Amino acid sequence: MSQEQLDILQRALARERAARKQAEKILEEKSAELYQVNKKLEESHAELMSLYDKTNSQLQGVFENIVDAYVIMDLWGNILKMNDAAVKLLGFNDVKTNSNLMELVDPKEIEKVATSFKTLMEKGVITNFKVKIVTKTGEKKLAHINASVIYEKGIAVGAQGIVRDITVESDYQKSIEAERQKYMSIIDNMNLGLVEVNNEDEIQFVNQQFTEISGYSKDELIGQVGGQLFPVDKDKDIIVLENEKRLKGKSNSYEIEVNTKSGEKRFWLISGAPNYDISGNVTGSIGIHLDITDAKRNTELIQEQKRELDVIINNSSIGIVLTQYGDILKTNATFQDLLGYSESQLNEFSIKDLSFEEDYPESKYYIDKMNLGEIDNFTVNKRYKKRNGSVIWAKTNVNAVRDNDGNIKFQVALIEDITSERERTLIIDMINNLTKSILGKTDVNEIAWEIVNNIAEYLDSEDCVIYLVDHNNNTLEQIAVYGEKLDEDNKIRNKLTVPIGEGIVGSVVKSGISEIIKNTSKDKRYIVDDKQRFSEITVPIISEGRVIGVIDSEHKDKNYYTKEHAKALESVASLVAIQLRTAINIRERKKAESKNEHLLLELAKSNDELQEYAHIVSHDLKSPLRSIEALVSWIKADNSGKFDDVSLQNFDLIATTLEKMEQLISDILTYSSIGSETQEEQEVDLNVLIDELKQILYVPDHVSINVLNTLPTVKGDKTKLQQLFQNLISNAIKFNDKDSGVVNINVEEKKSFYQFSIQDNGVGIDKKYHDKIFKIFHSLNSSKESTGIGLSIVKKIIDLFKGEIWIESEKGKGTTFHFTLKKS
Amino acid sequence: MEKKLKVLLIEDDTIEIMKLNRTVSTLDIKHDIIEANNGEEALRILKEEQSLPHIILLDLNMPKINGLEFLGILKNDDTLKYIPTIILTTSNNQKDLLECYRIGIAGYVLKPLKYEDYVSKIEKLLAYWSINELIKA
Repeated sequence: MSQEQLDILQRALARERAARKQAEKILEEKSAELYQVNKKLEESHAELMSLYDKTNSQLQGVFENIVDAYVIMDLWGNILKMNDAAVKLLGFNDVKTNSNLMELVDPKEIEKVATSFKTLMEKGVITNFKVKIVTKTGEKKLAHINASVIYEKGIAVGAQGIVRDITVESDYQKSIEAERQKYMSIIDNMNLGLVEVNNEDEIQFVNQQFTEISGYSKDELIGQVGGQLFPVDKDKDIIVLENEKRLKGKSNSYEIEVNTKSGEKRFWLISGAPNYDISGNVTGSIGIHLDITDAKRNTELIQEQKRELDVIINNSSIGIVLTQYGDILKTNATFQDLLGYSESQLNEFSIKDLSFEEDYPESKYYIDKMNLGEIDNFTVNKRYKKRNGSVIWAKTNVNAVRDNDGNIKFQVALIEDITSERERTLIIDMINNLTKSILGKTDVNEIAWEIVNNIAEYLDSEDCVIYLVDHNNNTLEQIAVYGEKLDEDNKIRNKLTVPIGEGIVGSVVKSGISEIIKNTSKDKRYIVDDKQRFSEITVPIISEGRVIGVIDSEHKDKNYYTKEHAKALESVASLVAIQLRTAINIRERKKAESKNEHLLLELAKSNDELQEYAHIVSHDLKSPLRSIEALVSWIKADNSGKFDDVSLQNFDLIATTLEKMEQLISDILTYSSIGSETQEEQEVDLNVLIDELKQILYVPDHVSINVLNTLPTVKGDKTKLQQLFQNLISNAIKFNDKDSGVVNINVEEKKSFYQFSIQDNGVGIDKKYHDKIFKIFHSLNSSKESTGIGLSIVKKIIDLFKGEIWIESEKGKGTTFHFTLKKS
Repeated sequence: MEKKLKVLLIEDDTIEIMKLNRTVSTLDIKHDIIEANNGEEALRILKEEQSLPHIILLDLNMPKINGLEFLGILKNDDTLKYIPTIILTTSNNQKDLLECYRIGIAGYVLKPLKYEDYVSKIEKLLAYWSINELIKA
């Protein structure tokens, strides 16, 4: 602090002291007068009041015309006077209201008011003082106050002020500011780069987004020439051209390729508009920049994807069809190939045109659901008609394409040919079912019924017939049918018999090769059975290289049967062939068995009858013999002595002849009785039997019968065993021409049978007769003792014993009969 | 003592009847022979005759009612069943033989081929029955 300053301060202090002393002096002088002064003051107050009243009336005129609110208050803030505007502003009822202004101040602003009041007192005036108030009516307002102190005789006695309501004004400013902020915020945050340039294309302003898309900071950009900085060389001309347009006041929009700060090439879409000053001159332009690089690439990508998709769609192995209300709008190549139509042909069709009526209901069920919005897609297996008239089965997956309201705009159908797959499944199912149903069946008809039913179902045909080949008659016989050929009682209507070689079935039997007839009306072999049908498939059933039957099916449509059908039916044919063959064999065997049974019964009956007959015949034959014998003997007796020797000899011959005749009849009866007479079997000791025979048989002296070995005891009918040995032994005796005849009986025990031999040294039998001797009535000798039945009886008895007999013989040297008897 | 028999011969063959008559005529005892040509006639005779025959000689092979049938009828009759019936036949059929014995017969004689054998058999047969005690009707 300089001396000068100190001096100034000291002088001021001195003045102050002097002033204070003077004041104190005055105070002391006046102190005594205070009471009077006070009194005077009271008086003067009253005077002042009256003065005020006077002045008021004077001022009334001055301030009446002030639009703004005008208030006079005392030094404590009490309102002394105010105009109507003030009443309105402050919310009073009338000008007379007594109130203190301080009551109206927003409590938060009291401090501020106190300070400003102080300023007012010190300076005598305040201007531009803003304060928040709460009016009597509770309204919050912002008040603008200009006020000055009122002096009365140099002493402040009050203050007067003009109050303006700036609440609205202040809000407006604020809102403008807010708007500005808002727009700045928008500009900064918008996705578009905003640039303002002057007429020299110098950048004046950029927003945040533009710095981002360009890569430059604001500072780097301000002042730069945009048309030079960004565009790639080839696009610079565009900028020049467009800028010119803008200078002429035209808005424009264009695309350019630019380099960003990093050197990256991008595409911008620029929309520009001229910028005007207040007087309407173009001062530059504002450009909005959108980086469309990604979008552009996306578009390209989409285009590319669309191309790819088209390629995929067109090369898809699945048929794709776009339809609207059932009409075909677009198809892919696969679908076209599938049905054999061109795209333009298909566009003329509706889906219904290509479908089968039988398949409508299922599709309709789902389409209704789809239309109701319950489902968005469904899959059905259905048929389509091909251009060539044939049929495919396809798995059809239908998808709804809906608009925003959920209404169906299009339907996309994915169509997959499952004909062969379905075929395979059907075949497997059919073969499985068939195998199950014919398992264990041995009845030809039952098997055949199962075959026709399964095949008809598989072929979806109304007719199927199984024919069986009758090799005896060279014909085909219908044994099972499906469809209209079947009557109410499940019997075959008008059973058809087709000669082998005739008709289609007949020629398949002959060739053994399956046939598919696409149009029977063009096949001369076709035989109309119950009705004419246009397609026919005929497959032979072959067992052990022989056609044993035919599977035949007809269909009303032309061109119905496929090679797959034929293959399936051939599989069935080979599957059932063995079982059918077996069944046929069983049937034939059963037939034969029942026939045999019948025959046996017949045979037994006729055997019995024959037996009876043999007895009757033998009686009837023997009776006349007896009568002749009696008559002859009576003639002889009645004419005794009257006949000569020759006649008597002839009578003897008659007698001998009659005897032989009788023997013959007896032998035949014996022969025919073997096997029919059921004697009880018994243990027969053959040694005893031979001994007995030796007694019965006439054995000449020169013949000896020798049993070389002990004979066994066998079980059987004694009479027959006796007949057997008797015949053989008597033959050996009878045909012995030797001086010393020998008959040797021998036996050899084998495992399951005895082998006997009866050997003689007689005439022997020529070899050429060995086979014949066992035949009935075959006698080699015309000896009177021989009827030729003896060996036949022997053979028959041995057959009965399930034995064998054979002969060893040499003419002139003798014969050995060998025979076997089974041990029981 | 040998007595005279009343014999009913049931036989359709004339020569057979002649044979029996001729045989009987040569015997010491002249037995009574009543002839019936078949079963029906025999039944009629049996019903009509005052006295029943002592024995019946029955042929098996006959027309109309055959021997076996006749035998069956006879054995079912309470009176007639007591008459001894001897089968005189050519049939050596085992079945017939058994059947006859089953129904009930007093003998079974085969007709031999030779007349002399026949005579011998009939002599013995009649001799046998003439010494038998028979039920008197």
